[in-house]
Amino acid sequence: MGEELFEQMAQSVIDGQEDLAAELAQKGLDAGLSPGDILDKGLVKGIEEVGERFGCGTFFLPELVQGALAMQTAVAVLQRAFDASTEDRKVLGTAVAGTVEGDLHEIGMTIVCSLLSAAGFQVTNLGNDISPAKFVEKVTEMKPQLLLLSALLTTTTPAQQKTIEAIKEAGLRDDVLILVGGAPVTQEWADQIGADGYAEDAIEAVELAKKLVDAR
Amino acid sequence: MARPQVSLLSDEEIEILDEHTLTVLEDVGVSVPVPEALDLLEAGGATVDRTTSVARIPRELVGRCLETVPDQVLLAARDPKHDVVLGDGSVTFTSDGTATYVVDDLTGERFEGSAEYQRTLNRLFDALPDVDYIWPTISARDLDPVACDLEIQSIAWRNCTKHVQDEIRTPELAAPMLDMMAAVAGETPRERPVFSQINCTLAPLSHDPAMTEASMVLARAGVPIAIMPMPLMGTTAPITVAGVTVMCMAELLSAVVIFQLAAPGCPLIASPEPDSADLRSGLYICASPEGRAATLACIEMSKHYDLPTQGGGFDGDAKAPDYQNGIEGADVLLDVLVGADSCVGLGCFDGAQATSLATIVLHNDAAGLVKEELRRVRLSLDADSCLIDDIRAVGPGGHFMGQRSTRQQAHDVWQPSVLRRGTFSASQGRTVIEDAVERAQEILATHEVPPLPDDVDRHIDEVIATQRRLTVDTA
Repeated sequence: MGEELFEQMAQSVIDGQEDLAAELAQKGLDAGLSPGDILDKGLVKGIEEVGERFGCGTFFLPELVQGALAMQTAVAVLQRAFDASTEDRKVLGTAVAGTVEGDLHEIGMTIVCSLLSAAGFQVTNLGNDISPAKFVEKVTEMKPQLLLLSALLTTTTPAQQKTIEAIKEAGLRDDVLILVGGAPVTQEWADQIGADGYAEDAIEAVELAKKLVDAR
Repeated sequence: MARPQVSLLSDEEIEILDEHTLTVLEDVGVSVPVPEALDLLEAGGATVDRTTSVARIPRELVGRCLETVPDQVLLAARDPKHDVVLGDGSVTFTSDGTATYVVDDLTGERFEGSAEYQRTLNRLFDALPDVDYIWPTISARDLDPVACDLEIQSIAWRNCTKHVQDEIRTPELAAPMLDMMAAVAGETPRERPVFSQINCTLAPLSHDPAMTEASMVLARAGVPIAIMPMPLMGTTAPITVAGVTVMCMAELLSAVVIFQLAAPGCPLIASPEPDSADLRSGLYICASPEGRAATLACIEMSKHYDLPTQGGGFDGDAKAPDYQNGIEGADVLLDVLVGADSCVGLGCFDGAQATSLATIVLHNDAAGLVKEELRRVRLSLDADSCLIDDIRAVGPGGHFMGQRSTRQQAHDVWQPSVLRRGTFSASQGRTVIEDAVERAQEILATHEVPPLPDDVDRHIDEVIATQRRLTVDTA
């Protein structure tokens, strides 16, 4: 029964079936399966398959985003069980992301977060127009390995710099790797403001995130 | 004489798109997080939810507002000989904006653009005959961010005598912008708007509050507002051409309503820019066939609503001014034939992220070619233009080089500045790119833009300095 249920969980993620994924996660818990097994043997198998298919070009962003959403919804069901147990959720890395202050564009960051999530990262997307103070608050609270800052307008890229400065002033700079991105962002800019990395598109961003986290 | 025009949408298709657009506005609504705009919408008959800032706009209100939009828009220039009137039957071209990079055509090296480089480009635009107005191409990061929106326009007016179109992104910059406009024009912005505002909506179905507020101030002063929705199929918009067209037009019409309520009769320009997203990386695709089809549909819908309309242009996804760039820009003629009064996009490539000297010169030639093609297609069908007497005189065989008409009109035949003709051997040893770069350098070495009068120059600097001080004081 366990094996069959794990396969169904994986398939629900591959198919991007949010409600079904959550339902199966709960079913697994009710049947006495551990949250760690449900995650590793069921849901993660599904998201890994999603990632594989995306990597070889048979899946595109919609499949990836829907798979990541199904995964997140199911993981939310498991989180309570994780909190109540001594088990830790295994992730590739943790990240907080957002579009910087004054900028309302968030589709690029949404795509990056979906890809990171599908790659095995635990990601919190704060949304758009996030002040430096808010980023500091969330980095302090969540202690992520990565902080991702997006800007789509040349006039809002200075907010990436202000955010990095705020992180430094809060004494958090050595605790977090900072990546920047967005259409007007360049490698030169990233170097100038002291970011740890810059990626030209979402696929590069995930590769860079993995590389930086591995090297830490 | 009417412009030659084709229609890609049938009357029934236009009706279907119109119906769905109005239904989206009525049933789904748009987010307008601007209290004053919500007040106006509500007073105009829209249903407003103050907690979500969503306004559902009835079709009757849309219809009423469309009736007050002028069908022609003056885009005044520092030098009145460069004035443009959108909607008067002519076709014009404008440069593309917000590029980050400049590419050296000869080495292929890419570097970040600067304010100084933008000065250079503005002088080039000033000299090129088929660039009719400009959107300052480079988003220069080396400008002080506090007043950069104002500085970019000051650089434009100091180095180009043509009309400038760009974005003023925050309301506190609107008044100083109006002040600068009046100084440059020597008249009020309403009488001679030497600047027009680009107002980008946020897909899906949302308005940027700061930009909307700025645009409302400018609209009230008579500044033309170019409404530019930029939805991406598959990410911020539905994935079908019909779906993105409906959503794009809903955003556009909602902006028409907001600005007409704020300033009845204010000049507006439809500038729809639907495009695709690469559904592998999420990156913006400038020249997909789907995005191009949607743009053409949106242009036709905009003209259905009698709006002066800017269409797409020469920019695309090519990484250089190469064959791909040429192919991607080739269908600008379609934009014009379906009714666009102007085309945006001259001078850029790589998803409008890069520009180069050769690209600008080549695109200028291409713009000239399109204008001439359209001019020539307007046949005046009488014996004079058919040169029937010449045909009778020459008869079967012979030639027409001895005819007076040939002599008189030979010098009217369009000539490119760099696009190649002549013999194959004459062009060997050089590329058209090298020719274009050389042409740009010749122009830049010799073309002078008359300086602004000293008092205007000083006043612009004072306005910018004041804005910087105000921003620092309130920070």
